[in-house]
Amino acid sequence: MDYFLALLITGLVLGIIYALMALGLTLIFSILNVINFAHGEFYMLGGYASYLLLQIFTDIHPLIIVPVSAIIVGLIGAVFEIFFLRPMHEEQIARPAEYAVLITFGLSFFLQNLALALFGPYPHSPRSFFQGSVTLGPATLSADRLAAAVISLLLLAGLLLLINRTWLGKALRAVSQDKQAAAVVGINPYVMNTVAFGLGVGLAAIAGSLLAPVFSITPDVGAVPAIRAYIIIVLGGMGSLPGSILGGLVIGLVESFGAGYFPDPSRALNYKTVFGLVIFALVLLFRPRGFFGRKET
Amino acid sequence: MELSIQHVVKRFGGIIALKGVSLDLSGNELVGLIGPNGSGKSTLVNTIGGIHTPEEGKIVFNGADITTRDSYEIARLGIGRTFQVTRAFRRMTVMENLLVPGMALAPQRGRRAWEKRAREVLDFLTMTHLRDDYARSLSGGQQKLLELGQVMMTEPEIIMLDEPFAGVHPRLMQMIFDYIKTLHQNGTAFIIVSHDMDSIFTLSERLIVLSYGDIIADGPPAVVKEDEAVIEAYLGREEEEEPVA
Amino acid sequence: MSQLTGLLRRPQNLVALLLAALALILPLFLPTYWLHVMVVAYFYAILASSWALLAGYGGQFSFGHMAFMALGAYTTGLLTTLADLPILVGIVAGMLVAGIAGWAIGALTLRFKAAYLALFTIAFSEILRTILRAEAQITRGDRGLRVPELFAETISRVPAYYLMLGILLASLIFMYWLAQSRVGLFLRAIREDEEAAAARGVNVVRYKVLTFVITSMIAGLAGTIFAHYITILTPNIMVIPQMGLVIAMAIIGGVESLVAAAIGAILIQVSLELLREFGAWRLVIFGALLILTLRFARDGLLIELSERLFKLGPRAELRTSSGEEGIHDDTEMELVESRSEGAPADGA
Repeated sequence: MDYFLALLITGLVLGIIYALMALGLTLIFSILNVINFAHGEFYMLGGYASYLLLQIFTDIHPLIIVPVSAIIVGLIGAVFEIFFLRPMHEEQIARPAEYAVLITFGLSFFLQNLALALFGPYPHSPRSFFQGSVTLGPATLSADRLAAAVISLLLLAGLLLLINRTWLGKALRAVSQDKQAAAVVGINPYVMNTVAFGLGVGLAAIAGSLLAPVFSITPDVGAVPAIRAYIIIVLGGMGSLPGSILGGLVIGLVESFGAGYFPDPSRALNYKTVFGLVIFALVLLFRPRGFFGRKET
Repeated sequence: MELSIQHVVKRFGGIIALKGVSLDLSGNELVGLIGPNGSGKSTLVNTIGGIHTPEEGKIVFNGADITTRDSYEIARLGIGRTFQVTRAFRRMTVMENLLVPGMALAPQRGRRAWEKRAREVLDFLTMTHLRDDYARSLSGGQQKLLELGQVMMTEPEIIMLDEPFAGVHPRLMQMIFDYIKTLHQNGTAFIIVSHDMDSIFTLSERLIVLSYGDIIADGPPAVVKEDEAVIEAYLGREEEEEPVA
Repeated sequence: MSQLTGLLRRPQNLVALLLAALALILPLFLPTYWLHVMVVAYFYAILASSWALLAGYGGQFSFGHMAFMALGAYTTGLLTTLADLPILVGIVAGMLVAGIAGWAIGALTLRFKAAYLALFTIAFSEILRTILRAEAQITRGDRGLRVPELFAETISRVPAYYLMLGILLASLIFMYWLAQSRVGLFLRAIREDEEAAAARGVNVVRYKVLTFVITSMIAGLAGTIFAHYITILTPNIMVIPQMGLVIAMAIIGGVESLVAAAIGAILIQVSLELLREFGAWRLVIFGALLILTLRFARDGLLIELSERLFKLGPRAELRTSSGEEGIHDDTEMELVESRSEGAPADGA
């Protein structure tokens, strides 16, 4: 029973962090109608940004660095959006759907190779946020991981408030529902696209810098979190914010229990991500629109 | 040709687009389908054509239940359709556009034979000179003709035209008008969705009026024109709501 | 025969034939090391051109092409080492396994919008790699699986060169034939508009799955030959940046032309060799080039170039005629208005 509870708690903690990553992807998809295939690379950039900033500011608390690197990465994302995605929304680009897939994938290829050229293939680890570990009932978690989960939870709540309660949130929702109507009431949909993209990749960067001390950073560190986020948004229903939070928790639990009860413990950790693919296939087979997806028409 | 639509219900989320529509067509009837915006005309065409599957009800074509068939099967059975906004294959030539439906229906007949058929169709539509042009270089009206040509390739028993006259110059409109009449005289049935009252009243033998997903009138144009419910639901509002292009 | 002369009338095709002839006599001049480079380049050319058939003709954006290549490579690798089967059996089995996996994934994802294929294949690719690493008792994981050599009796690279070149040319000819057949016609229609293709009677899912299976098998075949050429396999052959490199090759070359994609692959692979001193920055450059090509020269750099050089062929004609509205209209048609927005939305 204790083992079960320990897995449950670990799963939820993981799930919250996963949800943060997926939420960024969902935000971008629901506003821009683009799946960001470079999402993992913004996660990676977040990690490297934290690492570099902590090299420069040696006596600052690492938590303060997190929002700074998120802002930097968010701005990089916004610049990319303006130069490469905005022309698509201005209808300067033929076959926008395939362009969006390829240009974001191309960006991922570019960024991974850039990181490799700049930092080499070896792992870099920024300083820990907190030392030691925390015991939560039967589960023992590293303090860093718990901090990551708590901050993610706060951010999730903050983001939902932002979307539901503020003018910006209202404007974003308006653009996601009807671009033309939004434009008529004075919301510039192009600006909202840029804001949403910057915000979305900023969230990925936060996840990346929060987890950098736990997993350390390599050029390809974003691949697995990104794939997990893709599975989560399909599970949650493409474009649904609550769906991606719920999907994140489900995948966190599946990974935790799957690894915990895997018959061969030496390979259990490796197979964590494999369960996600099984879930992906099951969703496509039985409920392609996910938990909260709008029905395809 | 026998097409029977029985109590068809189609929902999108919370909205009921078709509330149990029933309709029977036979022979080479030429039916006009009108109704205000959002009344379900295109939904009905898309449901017959297999793009939507109805939640309830049944659609039977020449004795075969096609309710849940895919749209490619329905097309091959002999129900042709055009789209409200033309959807010719833009980066393919006019000839290639015409070959697609032919080769999809009966590849064993061979490319040569279908090219011959395509030349006949182009001749009929007076588009022979455009044969090797890419569809995307055609004007909007020419693309409408091309779509009609694609449908004609396989000589379907019934053709559904979704807004064939919208955004089309009067001169071309007259041409499309004549093509429809010729095809009709040769035995093809039609369902024509249109906002253009004049043409639809002159053209159709039978007029069906949809309003909020229901058929509110069905009969000869002259009778339907006088129908109280129709005037109430449609004609009275039509002028102010959407001046016809 | 008339098809052949038609083929030769387009200068691009003539250039392609000359290049093929050049490739055939190249071993007379090249040192062993450069023969090796060319074998690898042809391997990438098979992958890039088959991906171009899938993406450029079929409009299906798969990120799993390298995974199918690896499935072929590991299938023959394991069969020829663990089961001691002949290499030829391994190659056939590798193609089949790649094809079956392609069928399963195609059947699962191709009913849905295009994005699902991209999402599923990127996940499949990464997770297959994880499994290959995790099952190290069988696959030897990152330490590498030793695979028997195809031309073990000679140290010369020439046989391998002609084999890889032969497979490249054969797959190009096969894919060209396929693209000219009704399959190619339907694929292009599907790429333009799936719903409209279905309304014209095309069994959309069937042709998408068919193409996916065929291109997966070609990737698998490339993998099997490559495995028996380099003789050591690690899961790293299928990392996502490798997929990115193949996509960059196809797109920079020209994704809507099989030959342009293949030549793009060869040129990039050769440049990677020539620019060795730039180390990791080479791929940064090609990454940037990929993004810029997508944004500013969507048809691919080679296609742009050949259009500038020859100003011929249907693509060039298309470009000029689409710019000048109504160039082909006769007087009758000039009256036709080109706008169709007049139609109000209805239904859904």
